[in-house]
Amino acid sequence: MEKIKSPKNIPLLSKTLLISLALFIALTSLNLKVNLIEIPFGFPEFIVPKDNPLTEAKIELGKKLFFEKLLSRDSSISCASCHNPKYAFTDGLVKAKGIKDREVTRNTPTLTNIAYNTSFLRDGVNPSLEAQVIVPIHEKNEFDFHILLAAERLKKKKEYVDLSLAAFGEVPNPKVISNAIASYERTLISGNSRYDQFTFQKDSTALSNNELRGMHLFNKHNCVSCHSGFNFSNGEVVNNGLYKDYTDIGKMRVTLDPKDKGSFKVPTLRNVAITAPYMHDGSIKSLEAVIDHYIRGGYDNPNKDKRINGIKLSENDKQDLVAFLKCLTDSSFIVR
Amino acid sequence: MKKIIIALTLLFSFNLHGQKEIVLRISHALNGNAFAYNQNFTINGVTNYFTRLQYYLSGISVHHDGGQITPLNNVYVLASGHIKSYYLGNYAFNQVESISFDLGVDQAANAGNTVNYPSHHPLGPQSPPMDWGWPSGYFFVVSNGFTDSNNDGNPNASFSLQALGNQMLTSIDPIIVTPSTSNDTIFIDLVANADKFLHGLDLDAIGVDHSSSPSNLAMCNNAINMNVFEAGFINTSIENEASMNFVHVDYTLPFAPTFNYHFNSTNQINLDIYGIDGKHIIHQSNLPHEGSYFPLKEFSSGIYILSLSNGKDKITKKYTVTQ
Repeated sequence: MEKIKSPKNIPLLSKTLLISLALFIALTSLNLKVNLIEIPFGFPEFIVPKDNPLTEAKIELGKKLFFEKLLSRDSSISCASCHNPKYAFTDGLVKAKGIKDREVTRNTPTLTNIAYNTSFLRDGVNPSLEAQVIVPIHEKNEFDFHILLAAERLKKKKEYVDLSLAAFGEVPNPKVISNAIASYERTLISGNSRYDQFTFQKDSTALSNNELRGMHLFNKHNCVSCHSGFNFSNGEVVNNGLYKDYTDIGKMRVTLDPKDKGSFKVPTLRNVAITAPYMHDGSIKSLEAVIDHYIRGGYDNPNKDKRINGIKLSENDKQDLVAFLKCLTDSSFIVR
Repeated sequence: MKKIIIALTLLFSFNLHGQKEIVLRISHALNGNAFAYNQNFTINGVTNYFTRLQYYLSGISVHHDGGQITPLNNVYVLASGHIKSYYLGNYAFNQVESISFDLGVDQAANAGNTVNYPSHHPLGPQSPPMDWGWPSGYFFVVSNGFTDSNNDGNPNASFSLQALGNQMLTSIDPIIVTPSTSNDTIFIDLVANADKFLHGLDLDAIGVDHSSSPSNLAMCNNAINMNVFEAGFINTSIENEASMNFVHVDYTLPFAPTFNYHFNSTNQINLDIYGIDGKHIIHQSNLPHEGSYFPLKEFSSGIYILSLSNGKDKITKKYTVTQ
């Protein structure tokens, strides 16, 4: 192999650099296709666990399982019953409903861009998408079932045996269910809202003046300190002052640390206009009411995050901010 | 090529030579007597009984042959109150002197996912579950039962302590043992004083606690503070062997119960399940002489009959399924 050291090799180095630069420009001018998924403009790649690489077969099986009611004890509900694509994978309810209309503890979180999350569930205490899959299957107020029994049901269905063998080389079992559903959920990427068209696809006409003003207010009033980055979430688990005292203690449920009382994960704001009601308990019905909460600065409690201390907004400002939040809706995502 | 095969064969034979099967035998005890579910015992001056006792052991090291220490990497034990024998693997040990371990699951494994293990693996999905789906992570110790809340000597109030979280991991110092050997098997005999797990805990006040709470931490720490584990063996081979056989029906799961069974004889077990109309539904053969069985079959609501037999003794139990 020729070493690039001597002066006579400089032209070769320049050529190599030029070709690399050209390739880089060519690649970045297209959507990056990484691990079978189209990564939208402006989005980074996401991490896929080494022990569960994405394949088309896993995604196909995972999608089928996501909509499969056999996973619940009485075969009445599926993942999609609460994570309905029509509502950006939420359900429009204050709190989700499990089998036999049992009320789930919390409001259903969106699965929008869940591949980028590093912690899961409303309080961020679950470490992986794969591990999270088991939660609703076992929860008494959700599927009230057992993953071993769910696997037994699937083994009796030839189509699942075939799909499972194709994807994993194994008949349906807990790993197959968990890894396949996690693989499908990683494909739920939303990056074609009008905000994306304006910001990343450089379409200067994509946003109206009101929406642009709303975007300015979003940054000016530091909403962006928590709802930051391309996915509008810094991933932190914080107390936003929703209550003085919390009946649902949030992350403290697991850590037992009083400092975690009332702490919940900062949600993404993508598709937020179609994921009402809001907050971990679905207690706020509209975006306007959410903004009112932050105008007031929430209720004081010992754990309230210091960044939440009230903001000044006129009624027009509020309408512009709502207009901006609405332009985070990706219609191509919700019709999938 | 032929030489290589011969060399490999010799090497393989040499490696196997001298290896012994290492079996950890844990005799569970209540107030010094043989453990049984639903059997009254006293701790803190209160009468209680267990309906479920399970815990993990990891980080196992065996001290052998004049002070050598061999860590048994990736060996995990899921111990149950009614199960005595746990196979640890084959090792080239001649004399075992002591054993040390951690109560619970090491941090690396505790961050993993049950579904990545085969169903028979201690860290695989269990029934009833030994992991908590919400925060992930394993229950290091599960002790469920009833306690006497009104001082009439009859346990009447349920308690459920299930410890999770890395801070629950409790290191047990080397316990000097007197192993027994049979053919190529070395038995490492320990007694686990199950009642001592609950020392100092107000079970009535605690009720249900599945968390990293101080109560659960105290339960785990009792393993060292109260010497839950010690060398020894409780011989249950009494005259009427059949009287030591039992099936305990655990209704923790809402769907169908788990059967915890133990036969004193080591003969393999045949299991049959019948409908109340006598229709034969399930047959399983060659099950171990002690263990847990979860019927991986869907049943409609109703009454069923379980039959366990080792060819000599037979136990039948009626159970219900509520859909």
